[in-house]
Amino acid sequence: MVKKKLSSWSFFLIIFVFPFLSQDPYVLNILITTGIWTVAAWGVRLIMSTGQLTLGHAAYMAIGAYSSALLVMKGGLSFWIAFPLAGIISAIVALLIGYPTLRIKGVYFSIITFAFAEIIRLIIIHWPSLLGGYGGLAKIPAPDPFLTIRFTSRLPYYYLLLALAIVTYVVMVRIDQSRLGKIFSSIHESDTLAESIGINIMKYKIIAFCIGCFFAGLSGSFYAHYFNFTSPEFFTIWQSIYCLIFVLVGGGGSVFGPLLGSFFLTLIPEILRVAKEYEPIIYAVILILIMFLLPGGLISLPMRLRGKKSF
Amino acid sequence: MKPKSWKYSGVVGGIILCLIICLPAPSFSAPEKILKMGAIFPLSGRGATWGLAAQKAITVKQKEVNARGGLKIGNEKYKVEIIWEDDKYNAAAGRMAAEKLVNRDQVKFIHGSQSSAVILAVQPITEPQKILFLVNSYAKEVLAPDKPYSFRMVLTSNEILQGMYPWLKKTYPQLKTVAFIEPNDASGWSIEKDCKRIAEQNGYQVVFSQFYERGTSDFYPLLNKLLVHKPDFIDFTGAPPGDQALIVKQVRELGYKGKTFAGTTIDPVQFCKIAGVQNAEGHISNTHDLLGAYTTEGQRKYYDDYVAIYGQPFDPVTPKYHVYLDILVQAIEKSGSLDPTVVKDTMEKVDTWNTIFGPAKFAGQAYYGIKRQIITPVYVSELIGGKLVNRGTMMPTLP
Amino acid sequence: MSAAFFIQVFINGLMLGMTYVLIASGFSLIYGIMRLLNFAHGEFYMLGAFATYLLAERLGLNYFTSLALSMIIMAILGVLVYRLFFRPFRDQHDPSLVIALGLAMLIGGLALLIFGEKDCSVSPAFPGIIQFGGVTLSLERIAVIVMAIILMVALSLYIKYAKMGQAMRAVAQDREAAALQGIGVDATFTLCMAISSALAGAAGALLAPLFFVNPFLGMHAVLKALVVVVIGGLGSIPGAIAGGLLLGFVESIGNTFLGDVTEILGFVLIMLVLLFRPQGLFGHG
Repeated sequence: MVKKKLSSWSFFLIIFVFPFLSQDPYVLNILITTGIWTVAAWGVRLIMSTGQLTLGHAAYMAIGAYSSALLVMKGGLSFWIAFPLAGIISAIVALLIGYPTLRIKGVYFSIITFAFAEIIRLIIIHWPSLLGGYGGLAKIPAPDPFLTIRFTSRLPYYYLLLALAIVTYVVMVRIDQSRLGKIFSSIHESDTLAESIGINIMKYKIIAFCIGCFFAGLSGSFYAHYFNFTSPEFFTIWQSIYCLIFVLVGGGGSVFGPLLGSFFLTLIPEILRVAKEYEPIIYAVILILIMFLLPGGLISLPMRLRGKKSF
Repeated sequence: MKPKSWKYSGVVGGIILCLIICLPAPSFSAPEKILKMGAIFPLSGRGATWGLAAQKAITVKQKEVNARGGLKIGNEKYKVEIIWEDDKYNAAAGRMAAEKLVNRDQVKFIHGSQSSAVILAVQPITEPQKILFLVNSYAKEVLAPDKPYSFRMVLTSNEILQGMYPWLKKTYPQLKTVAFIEPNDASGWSIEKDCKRIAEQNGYQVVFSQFYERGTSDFYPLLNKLLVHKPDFIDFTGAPPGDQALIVKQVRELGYKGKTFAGTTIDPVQFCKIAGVQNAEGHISNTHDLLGAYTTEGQRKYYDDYVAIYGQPFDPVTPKYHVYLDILVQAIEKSGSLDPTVVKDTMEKVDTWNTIFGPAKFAGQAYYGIKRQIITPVYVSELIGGKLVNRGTMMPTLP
Repeated sequence: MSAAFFIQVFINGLMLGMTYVLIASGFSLIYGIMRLLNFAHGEFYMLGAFATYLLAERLGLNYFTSLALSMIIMAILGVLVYRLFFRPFRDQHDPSLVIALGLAMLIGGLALLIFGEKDCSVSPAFPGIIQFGGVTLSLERIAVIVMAIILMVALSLYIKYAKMGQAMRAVAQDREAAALQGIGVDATFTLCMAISSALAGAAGALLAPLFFVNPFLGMHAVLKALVVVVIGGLGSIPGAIAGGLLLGFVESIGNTFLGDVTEILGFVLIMLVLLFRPQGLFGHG
């Protein structure tokens, strides 16, 4: 237990201390972007832990982004109220959609989530008066000053995101370790078995789905206020697929996995900038290689190494 | 939960730190004086045709400038170095590219991009940091009074059609009604608004206007409905070149005898191959055959320079991108400074610029709220027997 | 609007539908038999189109020869892809998904690098149009519809009557039972990939002269295929045919009468089908 606490906190400590070594805005931006996707990917992982693979996560990020932007710009609310509200709105939509769709399993559920995500994207596009259409919403204001900290440079965003990431991490780990997490696990293993011992699987699937989408909404809201701009292009099938890939490549087995996946797969394209037109190909090759060598994801690396050594 | 040793976490953290160190390093200048600029264009994926065209044209100018030692400021000469980044026609990638150019490479001048979403996502970085951003895209919002460091270097449909529609009125007075076809995306929407407004200003009656899903190749359903309204001509300015050729082919198959029209540049060889030479006969576009009539000295020189570097065939989509670097170099040399604010002021003050198209100006105070839209000549040509025939040129006026 | 108008709408729908059927049938086959959502399927379609372009335009071969050769080339490629990439992870759902996605990115990226971004075109084998009573149909389109029907009939007959075809159906229904019966699962999967890739290649080859060829055709194609097989039923060939035609008609009518809102319609349709009949029109649970 103590070892585990040390492991995760030492990682966050490194992230916390990093700006004291370097405040290069380029690097901070990469870390912030990674963080946003990590929070979203954690949501995907939670939903996957009940055996439901979602291909529509970007829609909930979009709902969070647009809700937050509109609440601040049109509703006059402060970011600090709009931000959690955005998460709640996403969760409510998740509840409404989840209720009829979560009883559907397997690949059919994935396709429904994809269909819904596209419908959301198309609604955003076809409502330009409110949502800006293709051009998106521009000039989304930065968060209001917190205590005396003004959001004029990268640093306050960095620490805000770090705080969000830590909170999300703790929530995810707590859920995993709690009775709730065990129930999710048992549903994942076999719903019929779980049902036979009296677990109301719909109720728990909905809970996981809503919490997962809540965090998607939060990450979307942060995204909008950090970029000061949001557009339907930011929330297509590809973004949903990337969330999923971060989880699968990092490893869905532990909460740490999506964090790893998100880091690697955000850093790699940046490092590969030098490769110019070969970048998409090298990226694809790396993706395939990781899956070949570590089908359980990056977190399974130490176990694989240990496994090999034991012979 | 599988126990993780904290050594593992330390190792992972260390690996990630190493990866971060591997990030593209800031480029350092050689002892020779170099002016670094950035360029964000779609170099792969959907918009690659335009991005790569821009790259070619800007490179032609770059080689010319560097051949004469570089641009001259005071007694010193600076060679031009351009760092190209691919935005993949998507705003998130464009934004990351801008982050790298501004924060890593420390450029003060950026050429870009094709997509309005990219530009709108990048401007929150370039404007506050006073970085000169020379842009493209058709969206009106890209230019605004609160964005003094953004200049649009290419004509939008608004200006192009202001030149082409009056020509059409004069040359084909029997045409009275028009139908519009546009793709369902940002530029399609923006262009459709311009088309409608300018067509009506010129006395045309709009009988049909519809958007199609991007990726559509079969336009029969849409055209079927369009033809019921019997338009005298069809305008599909917003459609990408491949789609345009398909629309022309399919509408002719369906028996349409009217004129086809688009306020964009096409590659005639490709266009006729996809549409069919007979079907494309008489198609009106904004393409200029640099070997034909109405060509300036400057354009002919550009043609020769292009062919010297890239060989045949010549890409007729490229010339309009030449002004990016051409005007920037002139502005820097005129202002005698590498400070983007000083250069911006020069670009505002100078009345006329000498480009390969002849004299060009910046305008748009009334329409955009700020004088940042370039005005270059609009060309009109028709496809006759598979070849471009230049029909005229005019200078658009902005309201 | 005359009768001719409505007949044209119908024919447009048929044409669009057959296009989708061609692309979706292979996708459906792979899911049905291998339980794999092959996201790289769209890239095979694109490669089939490029293969035809290279053979017919660059090498000057006859169109039908190019079509046949494209199908064979794609079949071989499909088998290679199966052997190298899919077989190692045959029973692992999550890695298979990422690998299929990675492959789609890889093939798309390589195609862009090799072929460039410009649109290419293939000369039609049957130029010309026929018109009757105000309805127009180009000869190429008729040829596509006819050849698509031939291919679908051949496929259906094969699956129903041929030994290997029956083996595929057995594996689709219950892999373990089929294996116990002595059916080589690996051989069946290999054949399935070959046929599916050949179909994708045929789709690319048939549609190339009609439209244009560029490296970006893949993603759009696979998303359409997904819609079609969901409506029709994953793993069912009659389903792919029904789904493709249904989508074709919905889009034709939608685009003619409703305009660009039609895009949303396709997805609403999917959601409705999945909510009320998740196995699709013809699928088996």
